[in-house]
Amino acid sequence: MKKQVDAITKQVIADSLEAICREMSRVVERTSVHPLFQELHDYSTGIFYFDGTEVHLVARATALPAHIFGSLLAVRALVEEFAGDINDGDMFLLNDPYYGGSHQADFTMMRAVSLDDRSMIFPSVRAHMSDFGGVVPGGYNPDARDIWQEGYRIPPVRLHEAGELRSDVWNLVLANSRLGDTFEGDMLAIVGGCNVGAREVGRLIEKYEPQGVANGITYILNYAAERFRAEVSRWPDGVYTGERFLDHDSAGNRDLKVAAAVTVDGDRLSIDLSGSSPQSPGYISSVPGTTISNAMLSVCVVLPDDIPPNSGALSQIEVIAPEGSVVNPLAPAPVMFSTTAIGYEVADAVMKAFEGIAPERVGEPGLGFCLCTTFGKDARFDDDLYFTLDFGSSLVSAGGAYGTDGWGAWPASVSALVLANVEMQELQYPLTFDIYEYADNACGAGRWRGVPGFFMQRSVGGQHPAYVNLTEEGDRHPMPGYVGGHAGASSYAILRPGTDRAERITESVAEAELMPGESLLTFKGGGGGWGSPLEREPALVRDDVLDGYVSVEIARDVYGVVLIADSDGKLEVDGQGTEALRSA
Amino acid sequence: MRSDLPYFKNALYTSLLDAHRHLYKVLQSHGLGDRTHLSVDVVNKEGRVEVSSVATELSNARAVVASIQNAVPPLEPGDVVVTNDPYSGSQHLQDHWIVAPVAKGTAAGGYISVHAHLADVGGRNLGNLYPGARDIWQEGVRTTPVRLFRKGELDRDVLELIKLNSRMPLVMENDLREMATTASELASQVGASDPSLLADLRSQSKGVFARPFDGAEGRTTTKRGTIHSCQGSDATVVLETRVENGALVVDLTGSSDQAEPGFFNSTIANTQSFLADVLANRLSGVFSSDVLEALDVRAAEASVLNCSFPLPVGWSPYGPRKVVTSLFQSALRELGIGEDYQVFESDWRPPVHIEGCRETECPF
Amino acid sequence: MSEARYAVGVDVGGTFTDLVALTADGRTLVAKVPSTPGDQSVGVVNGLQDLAGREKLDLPEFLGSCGYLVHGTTVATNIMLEFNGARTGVITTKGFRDIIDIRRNYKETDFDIRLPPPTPIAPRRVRKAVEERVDYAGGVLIPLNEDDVARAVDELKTFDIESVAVCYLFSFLNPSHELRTREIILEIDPTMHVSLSHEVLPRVREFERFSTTLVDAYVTPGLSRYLHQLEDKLRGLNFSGDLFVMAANGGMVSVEQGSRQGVQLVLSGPAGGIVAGVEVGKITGIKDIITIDMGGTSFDTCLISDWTPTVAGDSWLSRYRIAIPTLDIHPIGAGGGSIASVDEAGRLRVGPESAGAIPGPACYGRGGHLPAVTDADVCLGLIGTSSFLGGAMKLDRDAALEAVETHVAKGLGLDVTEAAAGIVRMVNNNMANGIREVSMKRGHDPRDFALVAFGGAGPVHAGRLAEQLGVQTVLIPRGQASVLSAFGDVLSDVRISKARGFYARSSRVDVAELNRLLEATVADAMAEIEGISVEGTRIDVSFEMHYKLQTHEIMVPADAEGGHMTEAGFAATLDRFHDIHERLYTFKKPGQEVELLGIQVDLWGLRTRPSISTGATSSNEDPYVGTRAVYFEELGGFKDDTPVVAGLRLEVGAGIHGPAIVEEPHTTIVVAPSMSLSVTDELVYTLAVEV
Repeated sequence: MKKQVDAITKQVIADSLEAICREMSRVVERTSVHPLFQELHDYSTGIFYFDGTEVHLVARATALPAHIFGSLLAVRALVEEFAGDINDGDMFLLNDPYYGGSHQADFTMMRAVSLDDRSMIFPSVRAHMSDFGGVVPGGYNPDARDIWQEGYRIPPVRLHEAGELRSDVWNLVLANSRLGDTFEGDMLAIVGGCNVGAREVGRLIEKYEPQGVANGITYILNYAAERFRAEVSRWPDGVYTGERFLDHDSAGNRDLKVAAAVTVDGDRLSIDLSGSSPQSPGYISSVPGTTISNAMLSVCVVLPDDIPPNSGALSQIEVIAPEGSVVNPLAPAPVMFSTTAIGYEVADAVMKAFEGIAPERVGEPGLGFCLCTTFGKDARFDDDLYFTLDFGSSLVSAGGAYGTDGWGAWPASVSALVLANVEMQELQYPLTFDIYEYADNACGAGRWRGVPGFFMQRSVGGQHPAYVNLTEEGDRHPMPGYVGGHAGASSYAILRPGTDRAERITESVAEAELMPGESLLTFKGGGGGWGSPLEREPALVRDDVLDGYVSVEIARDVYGVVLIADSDGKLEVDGQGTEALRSA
Repeated sequence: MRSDLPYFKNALYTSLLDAHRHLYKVLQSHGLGDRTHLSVDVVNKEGRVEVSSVATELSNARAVVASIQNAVPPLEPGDVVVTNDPYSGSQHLQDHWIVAPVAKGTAAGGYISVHAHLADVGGRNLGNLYPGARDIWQEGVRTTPVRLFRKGELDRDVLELIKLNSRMPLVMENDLREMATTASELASQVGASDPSLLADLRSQSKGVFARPFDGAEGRTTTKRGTIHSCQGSDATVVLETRVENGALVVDLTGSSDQAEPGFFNSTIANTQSFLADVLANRLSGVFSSDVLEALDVRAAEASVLNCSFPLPVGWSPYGPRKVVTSLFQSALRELGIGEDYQVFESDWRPPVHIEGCRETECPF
Repeated sequence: MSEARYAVGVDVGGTFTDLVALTADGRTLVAKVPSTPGDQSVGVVNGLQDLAGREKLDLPEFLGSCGYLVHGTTVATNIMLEFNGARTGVITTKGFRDIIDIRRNYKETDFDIRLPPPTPIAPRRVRKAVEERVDYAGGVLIPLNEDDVARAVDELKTFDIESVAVCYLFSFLNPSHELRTREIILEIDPTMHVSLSHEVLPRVREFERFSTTLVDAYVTPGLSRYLHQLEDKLRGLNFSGDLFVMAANGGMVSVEQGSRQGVQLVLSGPAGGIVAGVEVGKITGIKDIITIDMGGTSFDTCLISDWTPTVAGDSWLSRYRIAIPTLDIHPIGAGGGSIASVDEAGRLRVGPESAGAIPGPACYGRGGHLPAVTDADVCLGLIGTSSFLGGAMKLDRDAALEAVETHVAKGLGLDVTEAAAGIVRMVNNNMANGIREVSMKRGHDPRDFALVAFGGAGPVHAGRLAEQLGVQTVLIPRGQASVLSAFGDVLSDVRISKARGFYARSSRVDVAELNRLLEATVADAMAEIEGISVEGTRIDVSFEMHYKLQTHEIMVPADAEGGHMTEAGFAATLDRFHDIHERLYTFKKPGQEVELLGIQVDLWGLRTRPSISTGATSSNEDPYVGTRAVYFEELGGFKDDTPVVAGLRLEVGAGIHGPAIVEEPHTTIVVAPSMSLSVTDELVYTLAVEV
């Protein structure tokens, strides 16, 4: 009788921990202030377990994967820094990349819940904060050459001591943001998330006793480890390589390489990034938290969805990132852009290696991020400072995958990011959007094609100039295709399009001034394709032509599909012509 | 420093000067080219500056203590507070103020404050001077008043925060620790000292400021000057000085609006300190709040000499200070208030071109 | 019309069409007939025929004395489930024609990049862009290019489009372009259905508005045909009363209104049940309740505070966003049909796969072999094998045991009872977590609420759920379990909801301007209620508000007596916003600027309710009908002689102590050892739970 109750109880506890992460996520979502949180969901919640020796990620809520795997290192840094001096009710904060953070924008809040003498549980929230001082509002400074030029650095610090706020330390952190009220609202939101997590974990401990909860945690970690090993052992042994280049580092260096060698050996998996470029002066080198998160991202895409992405599974993967490289730089290298570029290049390189392991599960995992932040003053609202991170400049990236075309905006793996609406942005910022839609004839071709490319054009309204920080990637190295699929189109931006001051940007520009009425146009090339375009269903090619995603010429030249107009003038597939062309 | 004044003989004041000299010798931070980068002050419970080792930061000392009283829970023995924030009283981000309470029930009560210009607080440029700054965060990080020591225990978090945000963390740590030690030692020394020493200083101070401007009653003089900007447009300073009903009014309302970008803006505390420095020295007064109280400074809000949060102020102790003090010197000379005094300082020059200066021949 | 002697509620479900008639002399008539999916009206008429027969009337006689009939229909829902709506095109602002496909990057999975897109209602080729643009303040930036519109309509016609969604940016602040576009479309083709985004959902946020409008354009033509056919049919059968349909906001609307804007009915399915749940609360005087509706495939929960169901605008159906205000019903992925499985590493999982009605749980004997929650319930004796659906369907316990044994017990290394108990525990835990999450999201602690449990499986699990949640009271509707939605339908009021966009920061709100908008909105609503016989009306005004820079709005009841706002009323409303914000989100910022994003006017047409009694009047028969073996965890296994009680034979006031099983023809109440059940009212059982 005893035995079976235990097995089920452990699962019930594991399920409850997942539910607590979701509750925390709801609190953060609904109490935060800046649209980066509220509308875009650029935050993650998780529950970590310190067993007295090692820190484990136990559960996470649907959120940005790049955040929460990295948070593991944050909790580890916390435990190392404060060894022996962490008490129930303490709340800790950090954002420093070289202390387990990713980039300074990502604040990690962790609250300690004592389980017993040795072990603790840490409900934690990692969130992208709107502004944290530094040279450029929002922190994305394409000109940064050291980390102090990016923003305020926070090592692990104690904000609450046994539940009591240390108000002077709190105010000190607040003083280093330009967006006082907004920033404080967001800080309160992530504190609130941790508090709710701690309260609910406390209830669980009350109900099941510390030992019961610890057993539940061990159970779910072991379970994931077992599932993971079973999956890996089904993969063919061998060493598989992939590589991916980043256009530039925003400091004049081009074609930065990430090389991945993935080794499958029985039920073991290792990822070696040793062939990657040396660290770069620009703001793209990624600290281990970011590198590992992005490598894990690809692994999670390839794995079956129902393996919980916790430490049980992820600790089975060995990631080697050599010091002094773009995937593990030495301080004080600037890193602000690296969570996405070179982060997603890491994910892509690893994914490329998986082409040889599980071809039907590979595809684009990332964003291929192009940065565009804008700030200025809003004359409508007492010249308040506003700051936006435009995801419109980085739409789209979803690639073709086995069985489906790329669709929507970004792949499922980054779908925790929800885009702001155009109307909401225009209400909140003095900007007017002119174009916000897919481009014609700009998809990565394939048996399943990528999502079409995307144009955003918006002009500055009001009476004040706006300042734009841009870093474009994907001009030289657009979104890659997989398993024979073609790459997406190249990305670019144009400042003041259609005027004699038009300026095409394929790398970086800092604080470009746009006067009222002037616009910014960005084009993001679409996702890459999967498989050879010659294998695409001709009827689907015809549909794409009707929808404007593929021209009749591209249909013929790239897909080998011949389309002819029938007597009503409607396009039909010429079956014989297509067959002839495809077999030629 | 002048050694010819009567209060120089006061043992309490001598302790302050000793501490000042000690810090001048041992602090490792760069930029201590002259005496203006350092002060040691006694401030009473009400926030009145009883005496300072120099006259250059009187208003700042008062403002810092006021901010601390506002922002930090009541200080307990062994607590030491640090701040570098211009909007909490500091002249610019490089200046770090260390404040320790004088033990209760002793002679003085109140606080010892110590400040020094330290090495680097992050931001765009090493050394925190950036002519292109549009706001304070571009110059460096703000450390608003926070306890560096709590009941005698160093707060590791606060120290690490400060160190991590400096390009020269070890220099910062050494200097802050030295300043905290100096302030704490001085606090116990002042606490244990004979109350009559302070009373003596106070009565000397009151004496100087009894009726100092009688000779100039009803007279007015206006001086104009320019604060140079390497970002394009210079700022004008209009300094009207008059004596009205026995009070010395300094009216700066004709001066330019605050500038953005412009690291040469000054907070009102800075402007008051510049003026008080001149007045205290010309009258040979004790460097105390009495100097501030004798001045009625009027400056329009959001103007270059009374700038508002969050404008940058990094250059304030250099260009603007020099312009304001020289205009005020000549105004007082013209009004016949006080005596000229020797200034032992030279134009401060950074060793290199300041990054962000738009002029090919960098004027700084 | 002869004297109104009947009020009828009709609810069409997947299998059965349920009818409830309240008679003027206080009786309740109930009928249940098979649904007719091809044309739901056939089943409706069959059911009415059945009711008429019970009154020994012919159908025209019966219908002639019906005062009103409220219809809950799934026609609109089914269109969205089966994707067999109108051929629909879109006309939208130039530069923005892919908003629907980009869908704010919503994807329904964490990592699976192979998830296909939603079934397209209007692919890009039938989304036409026209030159026009309104700005954030409602000003015209680019005038409407009428030639573009005409060209778009011509192009759409080449695709045989029969319905058009017109979706322009900021149309909720300035609808002139959308209105003119409709005129042009109808000039070209008067048969075209047109849905305008500012009429369907006059609120900020284009993706939500466009998606809702597209769904409206897609479902309305078919729904409208159905409703008009039904009305014609009933009129032909001598019905002269008011015909209403249930809307997703929990109120009823006229047929005319329902067939003009079909999206209002898409999510109306559960509304009747919630109205009935509120009624159960009212009967017992308990104001704060959480309803749990656990049927064969679903588990829905709705939070009701102060007898007012929460209304929200965050629904999806068939992967389309439907942002009109609907009862805030949360599906939590577990029902009687949820399938239990064990994977290679020995983890038990319940759901999200469901056995559905066909093949159904193994115990149904319809070809299902996988163990569902119902199978676990049968294994444990919680559900009897011979009392299901009033005995109409025998359950196969052996099949249930075999399914649990084969697919769960073996994998876990447990015996079949342990495995079944595990399944039940796990599903209860998941449901409790789901309820807690929903309550917390609304700023409530579930322990302050009573549960109202219905649906075939709701009362089976409700006691255990209450225990887990720390809830002390479970209310269970008595006698109406099988027709609860129809019962709720007939009890509902007319509710006309009108929203308008209005953007301003609180310090700059012009109350006079606000009043002009309120008056116009109230007048619109009044026009729609005209001609409907109601005993009284009530106007509720609420504002959508949030703090500056926030993007989640709170619906704040506004102090606008009769639809008129005063300066003091506005101040009081702002105060209320701060307070609600604090309850929901733990903090408020009274000094902070608040943004007003929209107003909503709810015009209620209140109806006098007939007094209700049930057909479930107790008899003198012995309520104890037998015993069976039932598993109770706290007793360490099966209790072989657990009494089985026929619920409808219990007197009002009677009490039953656990362990016991109380059965009604369409539901089973499990009374665990520490619980007790009493008949509080003819219509309600109360299950008291020790926590």
